[in-house]
Amino acid sequence: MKIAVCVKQVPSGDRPLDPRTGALIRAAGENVINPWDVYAVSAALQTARILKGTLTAISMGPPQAEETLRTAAAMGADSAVLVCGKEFGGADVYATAFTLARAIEKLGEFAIVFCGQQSTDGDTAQLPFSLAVQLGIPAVGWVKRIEKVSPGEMTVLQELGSGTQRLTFPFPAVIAAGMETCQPIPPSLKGRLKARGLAIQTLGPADLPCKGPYGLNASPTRVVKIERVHEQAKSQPLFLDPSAAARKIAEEMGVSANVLTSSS
Amino acid sequence: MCSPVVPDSADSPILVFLEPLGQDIHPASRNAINTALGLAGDTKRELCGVLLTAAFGAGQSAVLERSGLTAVYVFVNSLLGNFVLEEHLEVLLAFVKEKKPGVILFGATPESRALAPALAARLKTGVTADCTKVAFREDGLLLQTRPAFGGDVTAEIITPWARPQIATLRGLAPELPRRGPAGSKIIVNSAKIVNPRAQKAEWLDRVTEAAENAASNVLAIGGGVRRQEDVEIFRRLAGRLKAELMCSRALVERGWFTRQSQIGLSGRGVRAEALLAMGVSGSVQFMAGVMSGRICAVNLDKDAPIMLKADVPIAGDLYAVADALLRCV
Ligand SMILES: Cc1cc2nc3c(=O)[nH]c(=O)nc-3n(C[C@H](O)[C@H](O)[C@H](O)COP(=O)(O)OP(=O)(O)OC[C@H]3O[C@@H](n4cnc5c(N)ncnc54)[C@H](O)[C@@H]3O)c2cc1C
Repeated sequence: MKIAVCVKQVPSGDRPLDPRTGALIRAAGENVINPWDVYAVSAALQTARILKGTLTAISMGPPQAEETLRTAAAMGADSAVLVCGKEFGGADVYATAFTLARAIEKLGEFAIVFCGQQSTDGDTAQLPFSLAVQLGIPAVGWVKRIEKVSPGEMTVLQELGSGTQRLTFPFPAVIAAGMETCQPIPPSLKGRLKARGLAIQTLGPADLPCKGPYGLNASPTRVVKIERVHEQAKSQPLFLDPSAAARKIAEEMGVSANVLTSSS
Repeated sequence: MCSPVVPDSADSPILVFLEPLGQDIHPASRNAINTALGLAGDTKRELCGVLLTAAFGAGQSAVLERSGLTAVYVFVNSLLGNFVLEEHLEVLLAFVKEKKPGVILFGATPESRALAPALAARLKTGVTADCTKVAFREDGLLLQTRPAFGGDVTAEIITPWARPQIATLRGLAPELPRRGPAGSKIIVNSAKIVNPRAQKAEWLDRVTEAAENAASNVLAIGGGVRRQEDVEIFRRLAGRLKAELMCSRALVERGWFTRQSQIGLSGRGVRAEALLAMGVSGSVQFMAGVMSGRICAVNLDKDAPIMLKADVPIAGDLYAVADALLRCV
C-alpha cells in the first residue's frame, strides 16, 4: 500500500520578517520543515507501519526544498520527490494544489495522502481541502487524533467548530493533521545517514501529465499589495507594584478592594 | 482556464454561508452577514444567505427573518447534522451553480475553512482565507485584506477573472442588529444528497448552545500559568472577582481545561463587561473570541500582542499580581 505525505519548506521562527526592515528573511540555513508537517510525517509513518506500506514524501518548492525532503526521509520516509520548476512559482493555494495533484497522479495510486493542516508562512489551512478535490478523493481535515487504522479504513477525531467528531472513512483520502495528532517522531541517526544518501526524484512541468498552465498563471488570486502593520497600543503599559496593580484591576472589575493590605 | 466558470456581473448576488449553532446562528456567520450588508451598500446586488442543517427551527428562522438579507435558502437533510465535507459540498455546489453569486463570504470556522477551498477547487476559483476586511474597488473587484506572517503584515488580494470571488472572514459578532420588521424571505428545501455516505460520523462533544459567555466578568488564564496545581489559585481568584474562569487554548492543549472553557476562534466567544487576561499572549485566534468589554492584561512581556489591545496593560508577573489580588479583594 502506498502512502504519501506532502511537506513544505518554510522560514524558521514565528516571525519570518526582519523586525526593522519588514523584509522576508530567506537566508540559507534559515528554512525548516513546516512544523505542522512534522506531525503529518509522523502520523503517515505510524500509519505506513501498521499497514505495512511505503511512504513517499512530496514537496513542491525551489531546489533547496530538498533539505525538507531529507528531514522527512530521516524521520523514516522511504522515498522523496521534489516538484520543481520556475513555471510552478508564484502559485496560490489553488495552483499549488493543482500542481501537487498532477504530481501525485503521475506517481501512481496512493491510498492515503497526509498533509499538515496548515503552514506557518501561508497560514491559510486550505491546501489539503483543495488538493483532495483536485485529486477527486475525500478530505478529512482538522484531525487531532488517529484512533484506529485498518487495511481498508481509518478512524480519526476531528476538532471542528461545532464540536469533536469521530469519523471512520475508507481509502483513498487526504488527511490534514493538526499538532495533537501524534507524538512527533524524531529523526534517528540511522535515518539521517540513509537520508543523506537518498536519491531524490525530481518532477518538472514536462514530467507531469498536464501541460499547464502552472504557478502564477494558474492562480485565481493575486496579491496586489503587502503592507507592514504598525499596531498602535491602545494604552501604554503600566509598570505597577503588585498591590497597586491589584487595586487597579479590582476597580476595573467592579469589586471593592481592601485598602488595608495595600502597601502604599 | 481563463474564462470564469460562473459568470459575474455588477448585479450578481452576494452569498453568505450561514452556519447553525443550536437554535441560533454562529457568531462567525453573524459577522459575515454584517460584512455583507456593508458590502452590498449601494450596489444593486441581491444579498442572500444559505444554511445547511439537519433540522431548521423556529429560533433560527426568527433570527434570520430580521437579518437584513433579502433571502435565506435553507437546505435540510438529516445527514447534514454531521460534518462530512463531501455532503456539504454537494449541496452547496448545486445551489451555487444555480444561484450564480459573484461573491461568497464564509465565517472562519474550521467547517467553513474546509468547505470554502473545496468549493473553490470545484469552481476553479480562489479563496482568500481569514480576511479582516473586504471592499469593492472602483473597478468592481473585491479587495480582500488578510493578515500574513503572524500578523506582521497585511496582504491585499484580488480574484481578477475567476468567479465567484470567495473569502473567509475572521471575527465573531456578538449579535445581529435587528433590522426592522421580519423582512427576509426564508426558503426551506430538503437537500438532495445523491452519493451514499461511505463515512461513519458521530459527535463526541457538541457545541449546541450559543457559545457565548455573557458573564459580566471573565478571568482568562493562559500559557503563563506554570503548574496544573496553580489553577486552584485562579479558581479562587475568579470567585473573589465574581468572574467566570476561562482559558486560552494553551491550557486546553495541556489537558487542564475542556474546550467549553476556551476563549477564541475554536472555542467560545465572550461578551463580558471586563476581561482579565493573565499570562495570555493574545494570539489572533484568542482575540477572535473577545467580542466586547474592557480588557485588563497582566503579562511579563510588555510587547505581547495582548498588551497592545488591552485598556489596562499591566507589565508584571501574574503570580505576584494574583497573590496581591487575593489579599485585597
Ligand atoms: C486554527 C487555530 C485555531 C486556534 N484557536 C484558538 C482559540 O480558540 N483560542 C486560543 O486561545 N488559541 C487558539 N489557537 C492557538 C493560538 O494560536 C495560540 O497558540 C494560543 O492562544 C496561545 O495561548 P497563550 O497565549 O495562553 O500561550 P502562550 O503563547 O504560551 O503565551 C503565554 C503568555 O504568558 C506570558 N507569561 C509567561 N509567564 C508569565 C508570568 N509569570 N507572568 C505574566 N505573564 C507571563 C508570556 O509572556 C506570554 O505572552 C488556535 C490556533 C490555530 C492554528
